[in-house]
Amino acid sequence: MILRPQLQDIKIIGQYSGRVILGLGLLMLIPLLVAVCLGEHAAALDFVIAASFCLSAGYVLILICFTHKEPTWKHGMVIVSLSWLLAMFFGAVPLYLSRHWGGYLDACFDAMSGFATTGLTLVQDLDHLSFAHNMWRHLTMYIGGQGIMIVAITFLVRGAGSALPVYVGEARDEKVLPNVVQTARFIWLVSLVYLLVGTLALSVTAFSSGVPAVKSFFHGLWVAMAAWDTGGFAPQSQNILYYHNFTFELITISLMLLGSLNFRLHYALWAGKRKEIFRNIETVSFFISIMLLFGLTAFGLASAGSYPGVSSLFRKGFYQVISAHTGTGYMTIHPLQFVGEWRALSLMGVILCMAMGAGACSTAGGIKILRIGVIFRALLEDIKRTMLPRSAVVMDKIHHIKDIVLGEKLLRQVALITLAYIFLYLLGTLAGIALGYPLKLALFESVSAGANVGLSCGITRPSMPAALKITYIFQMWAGRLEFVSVFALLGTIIALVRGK
Amino acid sequence: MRIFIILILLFSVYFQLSIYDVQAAAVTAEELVKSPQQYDGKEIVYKGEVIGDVMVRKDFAWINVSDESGVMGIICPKELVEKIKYKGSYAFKGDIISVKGTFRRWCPEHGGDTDIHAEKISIVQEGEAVEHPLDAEKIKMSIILSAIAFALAIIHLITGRFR
Amino acid sequence: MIGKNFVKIWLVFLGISTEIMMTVFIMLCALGISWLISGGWR
Repeated sequence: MILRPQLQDIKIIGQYSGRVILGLGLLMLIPLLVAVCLGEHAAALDFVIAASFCLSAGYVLILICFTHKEPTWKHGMVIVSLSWLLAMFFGAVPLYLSRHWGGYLDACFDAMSGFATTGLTLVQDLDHLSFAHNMWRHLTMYIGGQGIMIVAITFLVRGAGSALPVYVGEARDEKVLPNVVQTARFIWLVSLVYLLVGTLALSVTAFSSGVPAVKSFFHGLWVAMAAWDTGGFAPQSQNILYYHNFTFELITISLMLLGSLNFRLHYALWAGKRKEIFRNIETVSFFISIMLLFGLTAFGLASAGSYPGVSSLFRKGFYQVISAHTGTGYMTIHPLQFVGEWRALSLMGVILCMAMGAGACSTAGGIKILRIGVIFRALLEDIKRTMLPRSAVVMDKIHHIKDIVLGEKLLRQVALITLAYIFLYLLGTLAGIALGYPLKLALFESVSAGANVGLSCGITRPSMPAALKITYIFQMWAGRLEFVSVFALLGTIIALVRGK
Repeated sequence: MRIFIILILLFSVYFQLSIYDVQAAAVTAEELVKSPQQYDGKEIVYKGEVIGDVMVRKDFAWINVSDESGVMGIICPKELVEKIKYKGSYAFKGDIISVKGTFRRWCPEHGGDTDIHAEKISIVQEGEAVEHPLDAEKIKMSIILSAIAFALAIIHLITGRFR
Repeated sequence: MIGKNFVKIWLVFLGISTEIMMTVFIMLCALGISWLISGGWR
């Protein structure tokens, strides 16, 4: 029997979603400030409209759904997935008003792409977009990378008790510190420290390579935001290729790698356990997988004669591999070159990188390397077990911050999520093929959307069919939240209709 | 027989002219990226709007030039970019320039970039400042919405239905 | 109190440098692979 949600349940969900929208409205004051300071009056008007729209909607929801009840686990999941959808709808408003997007759907696509730190974009004439709108695009990545709910927990939620369900709902099954509010604060601390370091390094590099001072500060800030949050938006339509600068590329590689590390690993390292970096199953598997897949990709490129020379292979081959593996989506090539210059073998290497993703509880997307590591480990242990006498008792352990016993329950959880990701990738590929795109490209773009990467081989453009846009939006949303909260929302909707 | 020779001559002249025509016509960024082997190492003409910045590095300068189909990176001696006045951004429409130079599919000097090494740059059309007039509808909407938001915030403060 | 905080900040600084060193190490390894595959040793 399915229980129909009661008015009280809906009130709790509405109350918290309202707070998220309110928070979003407050965050829109940042691009508004940028617009006012730089004298972009027309852009400022867009943000006045969007911010007051968000604030009004948020206040109305909070007033109507007023309740003192704390959310339970069930509510938490629904609040998260619903808030992400609402954030997309509201976050798209200023983008839509700028008239740089083909329609409201395109603006929604970019808003979801930003919040989910994907990086696929449907913007038109990006090179003439205002500073304020660029600020907002990159801010969506910075909010979404740490987590919309982390923002809400830090600023808008009362106690730690009510924060836990929403924290877990946002694909963060690992707590860094025992208390959720402390965890959220630590996540902000790490992010702000690296934002500062990244902005400084990138701004100086951009300035020394000939970008004017104010602009190089903003470019540094934006690229640092999107690189650290493994997002992939850039202020110019050529992405990172715009700068034609090797140092700039090296710094972004560093930031992407740092952003794809588990926050628990950051904590262990910052607390003085530096040996963890060599022992952790995640870093070890990540390193092995980067090297193997880059070897594969580079072999494919070299055998096709593409990008001859060490520096070309590094700057074009490795950059794309790291960008794919960390789930960022920064590019130093033209999207169409994936089709023309990259052999199927290299393309497959990049697709595998994207599908696997990077650290769990980081800002990256994809299956997550921890799960791949666990599955491999389990496979090895199973093979070993067949060699041993049947009566032997084997205890499998993995090292991730502490030693963890590799139990059936853990393995089941890991395998289910991995399977769900594979189905998600297939879904987008099917949609792509059905709409007439070649298999190779459809697979590439679908994995890119589902794993929140953002590399594009040219399918994502304003003229693509609306059905595919919606499919990719769903993939980005479900892939970012790691399914559980999405299922919870679907379940609640079914319960509303059919429950007793 | 003579007519035949004249015909051949005429034809070859026409043919050469037509080749010349192909070279003189501007290539689009999309063509360059889609079939690079056709243009690799050859002299081409590329036309488009200068966007972003003129990035001077020692004796050379990078500019990014956008036609409707895409953007190409162009490297040239820094004297060539001195005459570029407007660069495309939110506030400006950039100069439309015509670039004559050698196309590189994966330039070994610049880390495998697909770029054009320009020898000649001429300004086809000068850019201009772009006005962004305030939309009357938007002004109306912003006043109404911010009034509503303000009123709701006040109600909130009074009823204390928060935190 | 000041000494304790100083140790803490110092540890964080060391942690950050370890992380950055790791990224540099990965880049160096990748450069090595590019060198091997592109035939730079020939």
